[in-house]
Order: sequence, then structure tokens, then C-alpha cells
Amino acid sequence: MHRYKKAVDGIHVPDELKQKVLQQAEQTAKPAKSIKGTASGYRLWRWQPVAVAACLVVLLVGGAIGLIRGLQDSQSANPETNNAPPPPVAASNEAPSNMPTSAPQGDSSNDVETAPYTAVALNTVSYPTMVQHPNKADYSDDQTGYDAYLEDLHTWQENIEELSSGQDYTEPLSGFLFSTTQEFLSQTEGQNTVYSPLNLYMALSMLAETTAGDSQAELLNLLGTLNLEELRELTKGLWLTNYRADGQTDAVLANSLWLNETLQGKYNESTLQTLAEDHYASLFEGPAGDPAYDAALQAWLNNQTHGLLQDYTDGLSMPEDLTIGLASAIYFRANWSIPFEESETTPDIFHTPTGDIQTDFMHAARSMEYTRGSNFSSVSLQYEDTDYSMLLMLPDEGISTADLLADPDAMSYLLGSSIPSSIQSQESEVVLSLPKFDVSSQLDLQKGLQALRVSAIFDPDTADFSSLTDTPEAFVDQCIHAARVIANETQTEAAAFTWITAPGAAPEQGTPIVLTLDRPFLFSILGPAGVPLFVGTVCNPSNS
Amino acid sequence: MQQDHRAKAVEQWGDMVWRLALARTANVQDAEDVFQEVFLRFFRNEQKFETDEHRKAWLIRCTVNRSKSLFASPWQKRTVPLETAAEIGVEDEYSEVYSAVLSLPAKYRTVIHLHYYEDLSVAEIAQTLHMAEGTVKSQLSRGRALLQNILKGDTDASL
Repeated sequence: MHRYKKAVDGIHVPDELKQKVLQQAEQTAKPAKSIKGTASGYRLWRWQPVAVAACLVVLLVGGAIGLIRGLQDSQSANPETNNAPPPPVAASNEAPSNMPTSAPQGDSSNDVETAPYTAVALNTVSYPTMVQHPNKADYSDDQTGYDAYLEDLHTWQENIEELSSGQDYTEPLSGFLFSTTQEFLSQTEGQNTVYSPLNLYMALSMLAETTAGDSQAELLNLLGTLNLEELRELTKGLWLTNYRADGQTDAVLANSLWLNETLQGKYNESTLQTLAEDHYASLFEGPAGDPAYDAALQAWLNNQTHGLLQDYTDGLSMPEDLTIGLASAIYFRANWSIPFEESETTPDIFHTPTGDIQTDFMHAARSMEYTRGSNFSSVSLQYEDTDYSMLLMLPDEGISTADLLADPDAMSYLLGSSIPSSIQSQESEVVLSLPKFDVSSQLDLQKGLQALRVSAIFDPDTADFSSLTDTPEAFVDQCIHAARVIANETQTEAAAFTWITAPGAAPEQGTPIVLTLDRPFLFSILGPAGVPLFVGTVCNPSNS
Repeated sequence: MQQDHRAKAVEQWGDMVWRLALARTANVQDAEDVFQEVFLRFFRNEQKFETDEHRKAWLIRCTVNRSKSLFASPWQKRTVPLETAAEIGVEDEYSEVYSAVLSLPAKYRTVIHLHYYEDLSVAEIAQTLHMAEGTVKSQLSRGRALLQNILKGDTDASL
């Protein structure tokens, strides 16, 4: 960078500018306003909730049948919500109480009708307290207000800094990211598919704690760590680095374990403790096989995912011979840094694999981070919290999303990993047309994991859960991953795509680039830890 | 703050703020706006600062923050391009690399400028901008990789 240094050495602030500033400071009138008027405060932009995403992974481990208990005295507790830690609940709560039937907390957007549910919470997980992001509307529209806002903003930034481990997890997780993304997104070709690598990582990490022998070795191999201790540290760091609950952005990974009360006393306490402390897992115990316990699981998941995945949680049930259920959820909600103009959303044609449909397109014409690969175009859209962004990747004409999934360079870029030499990024004027989309999918992980050489856990003869319990014949019975991403805003203009590509060719300065995502495309949501929160293909934006 | 103190401050810190503002905005007019905002704010807050180190960190953070809000304003569609590097003082033999850096997406330009021009370490950048060190590291390495792609095969030494 020695030449960059020499380049900049030649640059000096023009004398007229220096004079101008000194003159302005002399004046006692209002502070100098730029054309934008930013000196006297800042405008209140319309915040459009832009991306909402949720995902859950449920692993159910069946096993040898214990005695089937009949209906017992109703013992109940609320599945934990993820705010301030409520008072601890004793493990064996004998006192019968009415089972809550109201909608889970914090979920005002969906009316979740929950069946009566029963479960005993064995612990309370305390999430870190987070300084709230200052809300511009709370400050006066003048200099004092703006200064106060900046002060509070810095406090917020420092808080995040404290929580973050500062580590970039891209490298340690890259093997896992690549192999799982390619495997799972290829499973449902031609259909919308959404997958959360981060969520799956968390769930499999918990699973590794409960296993031993080959079962554990296969998992550690996929997760890319040498041993359990290393995995634990990584998982905890990942969890903390990703955590946001500051009133501006929500990014929460919630873990839970569901135990069978008939196996009470047969679980390895130290393993349960590690799961609670290092994986931020809530532990529940209840009557496996009883629909009321199923309802508790569903309620917990719906609560954590703000009702987004009800279609998938409805069918979940735990078998009578349950050894353990692992449920892992991720919820993400953030505003775009620059919202799309609602007035400019227009319906237009999207070419799905099965035919053309009409759907709403949002439009933006502004400077963006634009990237060309050898067979795709991409833009990166930032959220208000600049640690998060969405990458949109459009295959060139004649290239399919499957082709990109098989292309290591494209994947490397999509997953926020290293930058291959075939890629060029620039800040460019872009005319972007992006359909509003609401895509979701459910994946059967078992098939995919087996293809990735994690198989011992699925076979009762080989599965080894001895770290968790001595119950024989425990194996993974159900392994489900469901995810949904909703992106909305509004925007301006669709135009013909005239970009002519040559590997490495860069657009002329000043020529707007037109990017119209009117055929199947890939997206990812990247976060502060260098690990994508979500990856997916949009084949049909309205999921119709 | 007295006028001659202000003049001294502009002499001492002006180039640093100006160069960073250019790197951030890649646009002379926007950089001018940022420059003015930063110094006016600096003059108002003079009593807070004890050391030059503190002043420097504050000025850098302020310049970065002020140019952030530019990106999000309705006026950012203004596309007055960066005048050729020569017009702002860059010597001809270095203008290619300068233009290359300024064509990078904004977040990469920032850390590259702070690291390679202002000689801030990763930790210092993280501390000054309230970012995670991991983020700084990854932005630096991604920025360099992108730069190398643009300059096609030039080694680090020539950057």
C-alpha cells in the first residue's frame, strides 16, 4: 500500500475550504448548514421493517420406552421468553396451576392460538443485557438533541463491542458453510429454499455435547472442530457475537432441550449444565407423548420465532419414547439502512421455473455496493445496523441457481467468505428492481446430513448418546429445519438488463447499472460473526 | 475557542480530515460538506479533549459518522464524480492506485485508508470506530483482495 500512501500524500485541503470553515466558526449565527440541513439535527426517515426471518431446527431423539405415565397433575410453566430472566422455577414443581392459553408474549402480529400446554422449566437462561439503540424521535430536533443522540449512540456501540468476541468465524466454519449450503439448497431445486447455517450450527453443536464415540466424531468433523472444548468456545462466541436485542435490530439464537420426565434422574447432570451455560439452552421436562407437552414445544418455538413458522410448528410432536428433543430457533428482524419508496412499488413479471407470475417489485436507484463475478451480478444492501447486510445474487442469463451453488467462487462470495480473483466489487450507481418476497421451506436434514457423513446418530444400533444418558437405543428420530425470510419495501423502476460481461470488466464510471431480479436468484443475510444467518434461493417470491 | 486556536487546529488536523473525507465520500463536494461539519463540531467540543490522541480519534470517528449520514440522505443521488485524482493533488504515477481504492465499496475504502494511510492498527481502528476487531480484519482482507482483482495481479508491494 506504499503507492496509496504516496498518492494521498499529494492531497492537501484547499486553502479556500480552510478559510470558509474558520469564517463560519466566527459567526454566532446558526451553525453552517450544508444543503442537506444536517447541522440542525437529522431527518426522521420512514422506517420500514425490512427483513424478518426466522428458522428453527428440531431434533427428536427417540429411545427405549420408559413407563408410560398417565395424565399427571397439571404442572405448568411458561416456556421461557428471551428477555429479562424471570425468577427461577424449581425443578419439581408440584403445585398445580392453570395452564396459560393466551398467545405467546411479544407476538402481536399473529394470533397464535395455543392449546393448553404443560412443561416444567428446569432453568432460566439469562441473555446479556443490551443497551437500547437510541431512537432519533426521542431527541430534540436541534444541535443539543443531535449531540445527545451521538453520545447515546456511542454508548450503544461500546456495549456491542463488549459483547462481541471480536473474532471472525468465517474461516473455522467455512467447510461447514460450504458443504451444508450446497447440500441443502440443492435438495429442493426449482423451489424456494431457505436455510440458516448459523442455526444449524448451534443445533448440531448441542447435539455433539450429548453424544460420544463415532456419533460425536462425525458431528465434530462436519462442524470443523477438533474437540468438544474447542466447539463449546466457538459456539459461545458465535452466539454472543450475533446477539442483538437493542430495539433497532433483533437477532437472537434460542436453544432448548426437551426431556422426558419418565427419564428423570437418568440424564447426566453435568451435560445438562454445560448445555445451559455454554449454549444458552433452556431445559424443559414433561410427559413425552402427551399432546400438552407437544403444545409446549410448539408454543416455545412460535414465541421465539414470533409466529413466523406456525405452518411448520403445527405438526411437531414428540414420541412417547423420547430421550431428548433439541429445538433451536433463530429470529432476525432489521430495517434497511435506506428504505425503498413504497409509492414506487409496481407489479411486474417474475419468471419462475414453472411459468411467469405477476408480483410486486420494489425499486431503488442509488449508489450501491455492486459486484460482478464471472457468471453473476450481485448487490449488497445494508441494514440500519451496518454489521448486517443482505446479498442478492442474480445468475447471468442462461445460468441457473444450481450452477452458482456448484461454483466455489460464487459460493465463496455469497457466504461472506474469501474474495476470489474472479470477482470485482465497486460502489456504483445501480437501478435495482427487487421483488418483495416471502419464502420459506422445510428441509429434511437427515438425508442431507447422511450425505455429509453424519449417519451414526440416525441408527439405533450405532447411535451413542452416552454423554447424555445411559438409556439404551437412543437415536435421532426427527431432524427438521424450517426457515422463512420476508423482505419488503417498495421501490422505483424496472428496466431492461443490458449489462455485457467479460471476466473482470468494470462498468464505466457514471453509467448506471441496471439489475433486475425477475428470475430465480440467491440471497444471503450476513452478520457480524462472518457466518451467514440465512442463505436461500428465491424461485417464486410470493410463495404462491 | 479563539480564532487563532481554531486556525491552528485546522492546520494540524485539516489534511487528515480532508483525506479521510475524500476516501469516505469519493466526491469532492460531499467531502467539503463533511470537512466543514466535522470542524464546526470539533470547535464546539474543544473543552472535552485532553490529548492529541483523543482529538485524533474523535476527529476520525466524527468524519466517518458524518459521511455515513450523507449516504442515507435524499441528496445522495447527487453524482458529481470524484474529479480526476490529479485535480485534488495526487501525483500522476499514483493516480491509478488511488482511483482503484476509491472505487471500492465505502466500508472497505475506510479501513484501507485508516490502516494503510493513517497507520492505525486493527485494534485501533476497531476502537476508534466502535467495530469488532474481526469485522475490521475481514474488511481489510476483503478490501485488499478486491483491490488486487482491480489492479490485476499487482503484488502487495506495488499497492
